[in-house]
Amino acid sequence: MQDQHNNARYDLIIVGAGTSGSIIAAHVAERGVRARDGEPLSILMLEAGPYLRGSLNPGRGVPSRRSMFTNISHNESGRWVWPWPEACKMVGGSTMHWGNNAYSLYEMDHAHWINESGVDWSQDKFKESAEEIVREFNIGDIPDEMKSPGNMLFKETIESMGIEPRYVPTGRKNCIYCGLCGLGNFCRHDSKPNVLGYVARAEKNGVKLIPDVEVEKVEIERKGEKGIVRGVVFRQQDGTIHQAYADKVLVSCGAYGTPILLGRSGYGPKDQLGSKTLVHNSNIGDHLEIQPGTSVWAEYDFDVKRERGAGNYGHYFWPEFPADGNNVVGMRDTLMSFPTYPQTAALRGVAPRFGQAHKDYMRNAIKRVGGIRGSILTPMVKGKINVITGSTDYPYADPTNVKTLLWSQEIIRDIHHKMGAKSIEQDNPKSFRGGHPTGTCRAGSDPKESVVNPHFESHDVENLLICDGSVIPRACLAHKCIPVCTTAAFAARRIIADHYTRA
Amino acid sequence: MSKKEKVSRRGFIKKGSVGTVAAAVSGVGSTSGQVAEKTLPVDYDRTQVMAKLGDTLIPSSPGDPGYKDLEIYNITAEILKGVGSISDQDLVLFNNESAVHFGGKSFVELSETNRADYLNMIADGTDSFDSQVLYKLQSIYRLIRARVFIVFYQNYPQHTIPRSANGIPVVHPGNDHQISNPNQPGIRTGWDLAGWKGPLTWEEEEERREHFKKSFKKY
Repeated sequence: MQDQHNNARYDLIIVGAGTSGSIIAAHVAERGVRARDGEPLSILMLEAGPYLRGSLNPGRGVPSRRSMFTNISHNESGRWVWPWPEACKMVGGSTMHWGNNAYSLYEMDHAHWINESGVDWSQDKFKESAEEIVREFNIGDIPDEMKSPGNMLFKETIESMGIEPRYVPTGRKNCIYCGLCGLGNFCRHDSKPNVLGYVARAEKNGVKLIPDVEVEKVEIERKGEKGIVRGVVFRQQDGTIHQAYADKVLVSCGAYGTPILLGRSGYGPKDQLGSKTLVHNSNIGDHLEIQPGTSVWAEYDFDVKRERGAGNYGHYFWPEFPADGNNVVGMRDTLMSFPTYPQTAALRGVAPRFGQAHKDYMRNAIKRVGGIRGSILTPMVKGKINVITGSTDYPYADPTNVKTLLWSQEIIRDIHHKMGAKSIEQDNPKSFRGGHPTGTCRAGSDPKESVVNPHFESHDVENLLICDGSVIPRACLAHKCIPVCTTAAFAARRIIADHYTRA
Repeated sequence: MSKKEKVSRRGFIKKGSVGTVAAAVSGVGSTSGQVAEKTLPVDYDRTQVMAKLGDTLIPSSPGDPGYKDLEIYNITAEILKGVGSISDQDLVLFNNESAVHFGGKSFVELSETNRADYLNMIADGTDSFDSQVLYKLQSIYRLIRARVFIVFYQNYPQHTIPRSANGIPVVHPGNDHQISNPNQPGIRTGWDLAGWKGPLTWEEEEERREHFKKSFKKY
């Protein structure tokens, strides 16, 4: 093959220019050097999705992204979406494309991680990285003036119930509170805490970024019972296959994408890969944690939402907090903030069935129908991903989850009632969907129980690094967005110290 | 109509209805057209059933346009694109089952009020239906209801913006700010009915930028 990409050799290849890959690329390119001679690193970053380029103009947006992201939601983004849930392919990633909430890691999250898999990821060790992310994304409270009447009513109501409301922190760098991110749209103003700034820093420091290519596999060679990384094989949109070599490969394809890519590369559970197994590790695709949730909507006979734009979040609380921090439910007034999309309002359980009554309901529904959401942040059940098919096996109907969420619904209904709702949804589903997958290539001290060590190095394959939502050992009270970013910033520091500092 | 009469008619038509359900179930995997060729009534019109359903779900009245007013923009054709899982056999069942309860009239022959009554009977799950039939009718009702509301309230026919083959939105020359709200004056759409104005205008954006510039020192 005669082309510029083929057979090139790099110090580091990063697979995935999403949230984690971009953060690590920027750090390593800026501060890392080759250990043997102190020379700058040659880094290649590959991304399956497009790179909508342009001069960064936060608050106004890159023109190509502005036009692309109008009236297009995460789920509607067609060719940019992987077959598995919650994952878009695009330079800059999708982790932060929902609502802008930005909970920093709690001390209990670190305690859970350490207890779960023996990582040494204490709050103290993460401090510098956590501060970086807060600074980078300008995380803070939404000003009261951008909260909706429903947000404020929720706050007053839970206060009257003796509960202390907490403010939902959000990334608000240049945010003008249009509210569309809360409806699932990408940010056309580039105001949300996306990682485009990190991408720019990576490129400025010499990272070669190739978008629109899909990595077929990480090249792994057998080395005794284990393996060693040689490079990657990737395919361009025209079908051309290329091979690139590297001393190290970092995989950052997300909690679903990473185990699937590793499986395609022959690294995974023997019982799934069969004769294609190069290196066995039963933890790849296992320990999947999801945060199942439920929303209860209500109709009010007064406006609970702002007509134009909103802050997307207001307040949250944990109705109970057991000493061990397990099975904690987070309740928040997120669906009280931004106007409800008409098609969403039309199908809510509080809507009349049809006809003139439904039509009359719709005249006010976008401002008068609002929801409160509860999610199990630290669930006690786990699932898995099949690394061949990508199918997810998560016990959504697990009795513990269902019992907890039905209990949550009753609390939410009580809050709606106290807030003065005219009618409240009464459906009690038997299972509950959720998001924020983690744990599918989790980090840990024991190779039998994890995939990477606390330094993000594969236990089984030499020179293979992994960092994204998949390495997070336990679901977080801080949801997922900022934990992923903070972990990536921490990983970058460790990776530089371990591999890219002059000896 | 007395309850006795209802039951009697129901008993009569039930045989046909259950048979239809069975045919529909056994027809899974084959295209609805193939099944339909042999067994569909000559006066069956899939488009007409769907159009009447749409009109019942979102009625029109003078000065208050609804579903029917978007027929000139082929809204029913758009609805039909998303209900392929409902076979012709199932829709025939839906259309004809009303005859049991409304003097022998199929759904498309009913008055507006009776069409609504029929849908309410299905949604209520009254015991005047055979349980298998009811299950099928409720599935059809739920699917079509969702499809009609989604299409209408997603602002049909102004629900998309023109895009190039690569998916890049095509904006008018001189539209430097890439403002591409698909909703335009002239047609009363679902967004208009609901008061949904779409994304912020450039002027609204600028006003907010100015405002928050003052508010946040990190802007």
